[in-house]
Amino acid sequence: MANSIAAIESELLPKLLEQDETSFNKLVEAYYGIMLALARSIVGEAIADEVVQEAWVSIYRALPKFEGRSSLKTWILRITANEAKTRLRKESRTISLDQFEEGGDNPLFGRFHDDGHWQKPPNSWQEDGPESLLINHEMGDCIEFTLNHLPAMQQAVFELKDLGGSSFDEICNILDISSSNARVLLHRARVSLFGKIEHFQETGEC
Amino acid sequence: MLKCKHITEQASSYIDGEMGFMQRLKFRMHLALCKHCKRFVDNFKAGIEMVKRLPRNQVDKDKIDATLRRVRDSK
Repeated sequence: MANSIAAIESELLPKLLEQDETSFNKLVEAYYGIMLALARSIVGEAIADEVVQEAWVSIYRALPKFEGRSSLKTWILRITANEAKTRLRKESRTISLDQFEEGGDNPLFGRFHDDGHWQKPPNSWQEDGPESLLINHEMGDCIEFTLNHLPAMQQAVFELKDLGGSSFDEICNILDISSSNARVLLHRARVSLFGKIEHFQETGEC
Repeated sequence: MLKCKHITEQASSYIDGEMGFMQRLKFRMHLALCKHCKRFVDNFKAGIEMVKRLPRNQVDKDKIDATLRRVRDSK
Protein backbone atom coordinates (compact mmCIF):
# COMPACT_ATOMS: atom_id res chain seq x y z
CA MET A 1 0.00 0.00 0.00
CA ALA A 2 2.84 2.34 0.87
CA ASN A 3 4.15 1.98 -2.67
CA SER A 4 0.89 2.85 -4.32
CA ILE A 5 0.59 5.92 -2.10
CA ALA A 6 4.10 7.01 -3.01
CA ALA A 7 3.20 6.42 -6.65
CA ILE A 8 -0.01 8.45 -6.38
CA GLU A 9 1.86 11.28 -4.74
CA SER A 10 4.83 11.48 -7.06
CA GLU A 11 2.60 11.26 -10.12
CA LEU A 12 -0.02 13.74 -8.96
CA LEU A 13 1.91 16.24 -6.91
CA PRO A 14 3.36 18.49 -9.64
CA LYS A 15 -0.09 18.86 -11.22
CA LEU A 16 -1.80 19.29 -7.87
CA LEU A 17 0.39 22.23 -7.03
CA GLU A 18 -1.03 23.90 -10.13
CA GLN A 19 -4.54 22.99 -8.93
CA ASP A 20 -5.13 20.66 -11.88
CA GLU A 21 -8.71 19.43 -11.59
CA THR A 22 -8.30 15.83 -12.85
CA SER A 23 -5.43 15.21 -10.46
CA PHE A 24 -7.42 16.69 -7.62
CA ASN A 25 -10.32 14.33 -8.39
CA LYS A 26 -7.95 11.36 -8.23
CA LEU A 27 -6.63 12.58 -4.92
CA VAL A 28 -10.13 12.82 -3.46
CA GLU A 29 -10.93 9.28 -4.60
CA ALA A 30 -7.69 7.94 -3.16
CA TYR A 31 -7.97 9.43 0.32
CA TYR A 32 -11.66 9.98 1.02
CA GLY A 33 -12.08 6.58 2.76
CA ILE A 34 -9.28 6.93 5.28
CA MET A 35 -10.21 10.56 5.94
CA LEU A 36 -13.78 9.52 6.64
CA ALA A 37 -12.65 6.84 9.07
CA LEU A 38 -10.47 9.37 10.89
CA ALA A 39 -13.19 12.03 11.01
CA ARG A 40 -15.74 9.47 12.19
CA SER A 41 -13.51 8.41 15.05
CA ILE A 42 -13.29 12.00 16.32
CA VAL A 43 -16.73 13.52 15.59
CA GLY A 44 -18.92 10.44 15.11
CA GLU A 45 -20.83 9.08 12.15
CA ALA A 46 -23.44 11.82 11.73
CA ILE A 47 -21.21 14.72 10.68
CA ALA A 48 -18.09 12.85 9.52
CA ASP A 49 -18.82 13.36 5.80
CA GLU A 50 -19.36 17.06 6.34
CA VAL A 51 -16.04 17.34 8.14
CA VAL A 52 -14.26 15.52 5.32
CA GLN A 53 -15.81 17.78 2.69
CA GLU A 54 -14.83 20.85 4.66
CA ALA A 55 -11.32 19.45 4.96
CA TRP A 56 -11.16 19.07 1.17
CA VAL A 57 -12.05 22.72 0.71
CA SER A 58 -9.17 23.66 3.03
CA ILE A 59 -6.84 21.21 1.28
CA TYR A 60 -7.67 22.62 -2.14
CA ARG A 61 -6.90 26.14 -0.97
CA ALA A 62 -3.71 25.16 0.81
CA LEU A 63 -2.29 22.84 -1.88
CA PRO A 64 -0.22 25.46 -3.72
CA LYS A 65 1.53 26.09 -0.40
CA PHE A 66 2.25 22.40 0.32
CA GLU A 67 5.94 22.21 1.15
CA GLY A 68 6.44 18.47 1.28
CA ARG A 69 7.78 18.41 4.82
CA SER A 70 5.59 15.36 5.42
CA SER A 71 3.99 13.04 2.88
CA LEU A 72 0.92 14.44 1.18
CA LYS A 73 -1.17 11.76 2.89
CA THR A 74 0.00 12.78 6.37
CA TRP A 75 -0.58 16.44 5.55
CA ILE A 76 -4.12 15.69 4.32
CA LEU A 77 -4.94 13.59 7.38
CA ARG A 78 -3.62 16.29 9.70
CA ILE A 79 -5.91 18.85 8.09
CA THR A 80 -8.79 16.38 8.46
CA ALA A 81 -8.05 15.77 12.15
CA ASN A 82 -7.81 19.51 12.82
CA GLU A 83 -11.07 20.14 10.99
CA ALA A 84 -12.73 17.45 13.11
CA LYS A 85 -11.33 18.83 16.38
CA THR A 86 -12.40 22.37 15.49
CA ARG A 87 -15.85 21.07 14.74
CA LEU A 88 -16.03 19.34 18.11
CA ARG A 89 -15.04 22.54 19.87
CA LYS A 90 -17.64 24.55 17.94
CA GLU A 91 -20.36 22.18 18.99
CA SER A 92 -18.90 22.56 22.47
CA ARG A 93 -19.00 18.86 22.98
CA THR A 94 -16.65 18.40 25.83
CA ILE A 95 -14.97 15.23 24.75
CA SER A 96 -11.49 15.42 26.17
CA LEU A 97 -9.33 14.45 23.23
CA ASP A 98 -6.60 12.98 25.33
CA GLN A 99 -8.79 11.23 27.79
CA PHE A 100 -7.46 8.15 29.50
CA GLU A 101 -9.96 5.84 31.06
CA GLU A 102 -8.88 3.53 33.79
CA GLY A 103 -10.42 0.57 35.54
CA GLY A 104 -13.64 -1.05 34.40
CA ASP A 105 -13.01 -0.67 30.69
CA ASN A 106 -9.93 -2.84 30.70
CA PRO A 107 -10.96 -6.42 29.84
CA LEU A 108 -7.74 -7.71 31.41
CA PHE A 109 -8.64 -6.19 34.76
CA GLY A 110 -8.92 -8.92 37.40
CA ARG A 111 -7.46 -11.61 35.14
CA PHE A 112 -4.20 -12.02 37.07
CA HIS A 113 -3.13 -13.29 40.49
CA ASP A 114 -1.16 -10.92 42.68
CA ASP A 115 2.06 -12.60 41.54
CA GLY A 116 1.32 -11.56 37.92
CA HIS A 117 0.37 -15.03 36.63
CA TRP A 118 -2.89 -15.72 34.85
CA GLN A 119 -5.91 -16.29 37.05
CA LYS A 120 -8.31 -16.51 34.12
CA PRO A 121 -6.20 -17.37 31.09
CA PRO A 122 -7.45 -16.76 27.56
CA ASN A 123 -9.30 -19.51 25.71
CA SER A 124 -8.23 -20.71 22.34
CA TRP A 125 -10.34 -19.05 19.66
CA GLN A 126 -8.36 -18.93 16.58
CA GLU A 127 -7.36 -22.45 15.54
CA ASP A 128 -9.02 -21.91 12.19
CA GLY A 129 -7.68 -18.41 11.79
CA PRO A 130 -9.31 -14.98 11.67
CA GLU A 131 -11.12 -15.69 8.41
CA SER A 132 -13.26 -18.50 9.81
CA LEU A 133 -14.13 -16.53 12.95
CA LEU A 134 -15.66 -13.89 10.70
CA ILE A 135 -17.98 -16.38 8.97
CA ASN A 136 -20.39 -15.51 11.74
CA HIS A 137 -21.57 -12.09 10.61
CA GLU A 138 -22.57 -11.13 14.12
CA MET A 139 -18.91 -11.32 15.06
CA GLY A 140 -18.10 -8.76 12.36
CA ASP A 141 -20.95 -6.53 13.56
CA CYS A 142 -19.71 -6.82 17.12
CA ILE A 143 -16.19 -5.80 16.15
CA GLU A 144 -17.56 -2.84 14.19
CA PHE A 145 -19.67 -1.83 17.18
CA THR A 146 -16.71 -2.12 19.53
CA LEU A 147 -14.49 0.02 17.32
CA ASN A 148 -17.14 2.69 16.94
CA HIS A 149 -17.52 2.94 20.69
CA LEU A 150 -13.86 3.29 21.60
CA PRO A 151 -12.86 6.69 23.02
CA ALA A 152 -12.18 9.14 20.18
CA MET A 153 -8.41 9.20 20.22
CA GLN A 154 -8.05 5.44 20.70
CA GLN A 155 -10.24 4.95 17.67
CA ALA A 156 -8.30 7.50 15.65
CA VAL A 157 -4.91 5.97 16.44
CA PHE A 158 -6.20 2.46 15.70
CA GLU A 159 -7.68 3.56 12.36
CA LEU A 160 -4.47 5.27 11.34
CA LYS A 161 -2.02 2.60 12.48
CA ASP A 162 -3.71 -0.75 12.04
CA LEU A 163 -6.07 0.07 9.18
CA GLY A 164 -4.44 3.03 7.45
CA GLY A 165 -0.82 1.88 7.73
CA SER A 166 0.52 5.19 9.11
CA SER A 167 3.71 5.09 11.22
CA PHE A 168 3.84 6.36 14.80
CA ASP A 169 5.75 9.45 13.65
CA GLU A 170 3.03 10.21 11.14
CA ILE A 171 0.28 9.62 13.70
CA CYS A 172 1.89 12.06 16.16
CA ASN A 173 2.02 14.64 13.39
CA ILE A 174 -1.60 14.04 12.30
CA LEU A 175 -3.18 14.02 15.75
CA ASP A 176 -0.78 16.30 17.60
CA ILE A 177 -0.07 13.81 20.36
CA SER A 178 3.17 12.53 21.86
CA SER A 179 4.64 9.29 20.68
CA SER A 180 4.21 7.58 24.06
CA ASN A 181 0.60 8.74 24.12
CA ALA A 182 0.00 7.26 20.66
CA ARG A 183 1.44 3.91 21.75
CA VAL A 184 -0.68 3.76 24.91
CA LEU A 185 -3.85 4.66 22.99
CA LEU A 186 -3.17 2.01 20.35
CA HIS A 187 -2.54 -0.69 22.94
CA ARG A 188 -5.74 0.19 24.81
CA ALA A 189 -7.76 0.00 21.61
CA ARG A 190 -6.30 -3.40 20.76
CA VAL A 191 -6.90 -4.76 24.27
CA SER A 192 -10.55 -3.64 24.14
CA LEU A 193 -10.92 -5.35 20.81
CA PHE A 194 -9.33 -8.53 22.15
CA GLY A 195 -11.64 -8.45 25.18
CA LYS A 196 -14.75 -8.03 23.09
CA ILE A 197 -13.90 -10.79 20.64
CA GLU A 198 -13.11 -13.12 23.53
CA HIS A 199 -16.40 -12.22 25.18
CA PHE A 200 -18.27 -12.91 21.94
CA GLN A 201 -16.50 -16.24 21.51
CA GLU A 202 -17.49 -17.32 25.00
CA THR A 203 -21.05 -16.05 25.18
CA GLY A 204 -22.22 -15.50 21.60
CA GLU A 205 -23.19 -12.00 22.69
CA CYS A 206 -21.61 -8.67 21.97
CA MET B 1 11.72 -12.38 34.92
CA LEU B 2 8.67 -11.27 32.95
CA LYS B 3 5.29 -12.01 34.47
CA CYS B 4 2.23 -12.92 32.39
CA LYS B 5 0.72 -9.55 33.22
CA HIS B 6 3.76 -7.82 31.70
CA ILE B 7 3.36 -9.87 28.53
CA THR B 8 -0.14 -8.49 28.05
CA GLU B 9 1.11 -4.95 28.70
CA GLN B 10 3.95 -5.24 26.21
CA ALA B 11 2.14 -7.20 23.49
CA SER B 12 1.74 -4.18 21.19
CA SER B 13 5.36 -3.21 21.49
CA TYR B 14 6.25 -6.82 20.59
CA ILE B 15 4.02 -7.15 17.56
CA ASP B 16 4.95 -3.67 16.29
CA GLY B 17 8.61 -4.66 16.33
CA GLU B 18 9.54 -1.93 18.78
CA MET B 19 11.51 -3.98 21.28
CA GLY B 20 15.24 -3.99 21.71
CA PHE B 21 17.14 -7.23 21.30
CA MET B 22 17.19 -8.27 24.97
CA GLN B 23 13.61 -7.25 25.65
CA ARG B 24 12.45 -9.23 22.64
CA LEU B 25 14.50 -12.26 23.68
CA LYS B 26 12.98 -12.26 27.18
CA PHE B 27 9.51 -11.84 25.73
CA ARG B 28 9.98 -14.76 23.34
CA MET B 29 11.43 -16.97 26.05
CA HIS B 30 8.33 -16.37 28.15
CA LEU B 31 6.09 -17.26 25.19
CA ALA B 32 8.07 -20.46 24.61
CA LEU B 33 7.42 -21.55 28.19
CA CYS B 34 3.89 -20.23 28.83
CA LYS B 35 1.03 -21.55 26.72
CA HIS B 36 -1.45 -19.03 28.15
CA CYS B 37 0.63 -16.08 27.07
CA LYS B 38 1.38 -17.67 23.70
CA ARG B 39 -2.37 -17.99 23.25
CA PHE B 40 -2.93 -14.41 24.40
CA VAL B 41 -0.49 -13.02 21.85
CA ASP B 42 -1.94 -15.22 19.07
CA ASN B 43 -5.47 -14.07 19.90
CA PHE B 44 -4.37 -10.45 20.24
CA LYS B 45 -2.87 -10.55 16.74
CA ALA B 46 -5.87 -12.43 15.36
CA GLY B 47 -8.16 -9.66 16.63
CA ILE B 48 -6.27 -7.05 14.63
CA GLU B 49 -6.30 -9.32 11.55
CA MET B 50 -10.06 -9.71 11.88
CA VAL B 51 -10.63 -5.95 11.84
CA LYS B 52 -8.46 -5.63 8.75
CA ARG B 53 -10.65 -8.13 6.94
CA LEU B 54 -13.93 -6.35 7.65
CA PRO B 55 -15.39 -4.60 4.64
CA ARG B 56 -15.08 -0.99 5.78
CA ASN B 57 -14.61 2.47 4.42
CA GLN B 58 -16.13 1.85 1.05
CA VAL B 59 -16.94 5.23 -0.40
CA ASP B 60 -19.86 5.84 -2.77
CA LYS B 61 -19.28 7.84 -5.89
CA ASP B 62 -21.97 10.25 -4.63
CA LYS B 63 -19.79 11.39 -1.78
CA ILE B 64 -16.85 12.02 -4.08
CA ASP B 65 -19.07 14.03 -6.44
CA ALA B 66 -20.56 16.03 -3.58
CA THR B 67 -17.06 16.86 -2.36
CA LEU B 68 -15.90 18.02 -5.77
CA ARG B 69 -19.01 20.20 -6.15
CA ARG B 70 -18.40 21.72 -2.76
CA VAL B 71 -14.76 22.50 -3.58
CA ARG B 72 -15.78 24.00 -6.92
CA ASP B 73 -18.45 26.16 -5.24
CA SER B 74 -15.94 27.44 -2.71
CA LYS B 75 -13.62 28.85 -5.37
